[in-house]
Amino acid sequence: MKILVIEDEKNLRETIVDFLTGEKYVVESVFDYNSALEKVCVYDYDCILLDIMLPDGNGLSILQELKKMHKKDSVIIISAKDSIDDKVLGLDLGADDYLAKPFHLAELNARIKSIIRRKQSDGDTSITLENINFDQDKRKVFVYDKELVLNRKEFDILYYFITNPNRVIYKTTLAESVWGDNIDQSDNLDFIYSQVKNLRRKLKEAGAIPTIKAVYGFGYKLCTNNDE
Amino acid sequence: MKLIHYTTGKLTLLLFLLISTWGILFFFAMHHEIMDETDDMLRSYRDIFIKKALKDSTLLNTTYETTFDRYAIHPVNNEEARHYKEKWLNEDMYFPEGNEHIPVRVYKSIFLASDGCYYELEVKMSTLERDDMIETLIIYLTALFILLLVCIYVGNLIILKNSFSPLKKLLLWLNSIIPGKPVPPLNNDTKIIEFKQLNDAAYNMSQLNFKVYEQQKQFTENAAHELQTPLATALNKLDQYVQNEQLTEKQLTEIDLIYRSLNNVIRLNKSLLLISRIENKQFHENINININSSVYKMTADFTEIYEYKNLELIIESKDECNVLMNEILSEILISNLLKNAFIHSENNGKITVIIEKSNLIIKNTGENALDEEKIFDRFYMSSNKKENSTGLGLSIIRSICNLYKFHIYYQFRQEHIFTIKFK
Repeated sequence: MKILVIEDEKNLRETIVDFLTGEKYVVESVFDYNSALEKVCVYDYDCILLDIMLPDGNGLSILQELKKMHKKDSVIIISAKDSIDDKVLGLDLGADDYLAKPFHLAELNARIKSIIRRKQSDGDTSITLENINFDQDKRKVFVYDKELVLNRKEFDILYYFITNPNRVIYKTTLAESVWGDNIDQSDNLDFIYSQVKNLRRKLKEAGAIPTIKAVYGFGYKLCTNNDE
Repeated sequence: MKLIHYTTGKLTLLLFLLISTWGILFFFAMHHEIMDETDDMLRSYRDIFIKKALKDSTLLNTTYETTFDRYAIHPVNNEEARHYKEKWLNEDMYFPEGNEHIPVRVYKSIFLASDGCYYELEVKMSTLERDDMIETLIIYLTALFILLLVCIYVGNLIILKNSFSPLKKLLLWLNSIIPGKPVPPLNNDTKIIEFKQLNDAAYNMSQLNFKVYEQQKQFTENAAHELQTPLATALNKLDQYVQNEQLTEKQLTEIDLIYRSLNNVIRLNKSLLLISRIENKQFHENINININSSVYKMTADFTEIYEYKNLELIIESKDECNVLMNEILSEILISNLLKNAFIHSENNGKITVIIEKSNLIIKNTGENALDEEKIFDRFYMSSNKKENSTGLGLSIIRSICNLYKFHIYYQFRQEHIFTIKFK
C-alpha cells in the first residue's frame, strides 16, 4: 500500500508519516505544490492525503490534474478549512473523502482503510480481523460465521476498534467518533463505559478472539492474539 | 428639532426683537415729530395773529371759530401778565355741528397789544387729523412689521433649505449604509467647501469602516484556520504518544488532562470558526427541515449521554414544524439548544420540548434566572459555570437565528424557557 502525504506543516507531516509507517504502509511525503504535482504525475499511489492549503498553490488543482490524467489514486483531503463549500468542491472534483483538521490519527486510519478496501475488494467491503467478519455496508458482524447482533452504537464502536486494532483509543475520541459533537461538554462518560462493557460481553460470549481491554481510566484497546 | 427650523427660529427671534425695537423707536420719533408739527403750527398762528393784531387793533375784540381752527382773546391785567406762563393743553371740545367731542390742542400765550394792554391769546387746533395720522402710522408700522417678519422667515427657510440640501443628502446617504455591506456611491456635488469636506470625510470614513469590518470578519476566521494545523499536530502527536506500552497509569492520567485541555481548545476554535462562518454567510442551500424529526433524533443521543443525570424528558409535538434552512445549521441549532438544556439541568430534573407549527420551546428545570440580556453574548458564563463549557453555545444559536431572522428569547418561570419563533 503506497500513500503520499502532501502537507506543508513539518511536524504534522512527520507525525502522519510516522503513524502510517507504523501501520505498515509505504509512505512518501512532500511539502509543496510543485513537488507534489511532480510526484503524482510520475508515480501511482493507493491513497493521497492532500492538504489543500499549500504555500505555492491550491491542493485542489492537484486533484484536477489527477483527474485530467485519468489516474485512479484515491484522495483524502485534509484541510484546515472546515467549510462546506470546500468540502463540496473537493468531493465534486473527485476526492474520496474530506477530513477537517484537527483529526485523530485513528480517524484518519479508519478513513484510509475504508477507501482502500472499497477500491480493492470489488464489492466485498467487509473487514476480517481474526475470527470477526465486519461488514460496514450491510451493518452486520459475524463471529465464526455466526451473526452477532449489536445495537447501532455498539456497531459504531466496534467499527472504530476494528479499523484501529492494537491501538490505544482515548475514551473521548471514541465517544466523539460515535456520538459526534453532542458529547461536547459532558464530563461524565458513563454512557461509553456501559456501551463498551456490553460490546465486550457480547464479543466474549460469541467467542471472538480479539478482546477489548481497558487501559486504566484512559481509554480502550482492541487486542488481537498476534500482537499481544 | 431640525437645524433649519432652529436657525430660522433663532434668526427670526433676533430680527423680531430688533425690528420691534426699531419700530417702537421709529413710532415715538414720528409721534414726537407730529406733535411738534402741531405745536409749531399753533405757534405760527399766534405769530401771524399777533402781527395782524398789532397793525389792526380791531382784531383784539374778535374771536374766530371755524370747525377746526379757532382762537380767542382775553385781556389780562398787568399783575397777571407779570406772572404769566405759556400753556399747552390737550382738551376735548364739543362741536354742536357734528354733535361730537373732538380733541384739540390749545396754546395759551400772552402779548402786548398796540394799546399797551396785555392780552391772552388762546389758539386751538383740532388734533383729529394728527391722531388719525398716528393711528395710520401704527397700522402701517405693524403691517410692515408682520410682513417683514414673515418674509424674513420664509426667505430664510428657503435659503437655508437650499444651502443645507447637500447636508440632507449626505444624511440620507449615511442612513443607507449597512454595516458590513459595501459603501454605496455618494453623488453629492456642492460648491460649499465645508460640505465637500464633510462628504469626503464621511465617504472615506465609511470606506475605512467597511474595510476594518471585513478585516475583522476575516481575522477570526483566519486565526481559527491557522490554529487548526498546530492543533492537529498536537493531537496527533498525543495519539501516537499514548501508544507507548511503557506508560504508567499516572502518566496516562496526566495525558488525560492534556487531552481534555486540547479538546477544549479544539472545540473553542471550532465554535469560533462556526460563528464567523455563520456571520460571513457561508451557509447556503436551504432545504425543508422537519423540526419534529430532528428533535426526536437528537434527544435519543442526548438521553443516552446524560443517562446518569436521570432526567425526565417530555416531547410535546403539537404540530408539524417545517422550516426552510441549511441542514447543518438546523442540526447545530437544535442540538445546541437541547445540549444546553441537558447540561444545565440538575440531576433528576425535567426537560420539556414543545413543538408548535412555527415555534420551538425548550424548557428545563433550574433554580435561578439567567440574565436574559447577556446569555446570548459570547463567553457569557452563568454563576454555575460548567468546567468544559466554551461559553459559545448560545451565541452560536443567536448567530443562526439572526441569519434566518428567527426570533429567539429567554424567560424564567420556575424553569428556563427558550423559545424560537421561526416566522
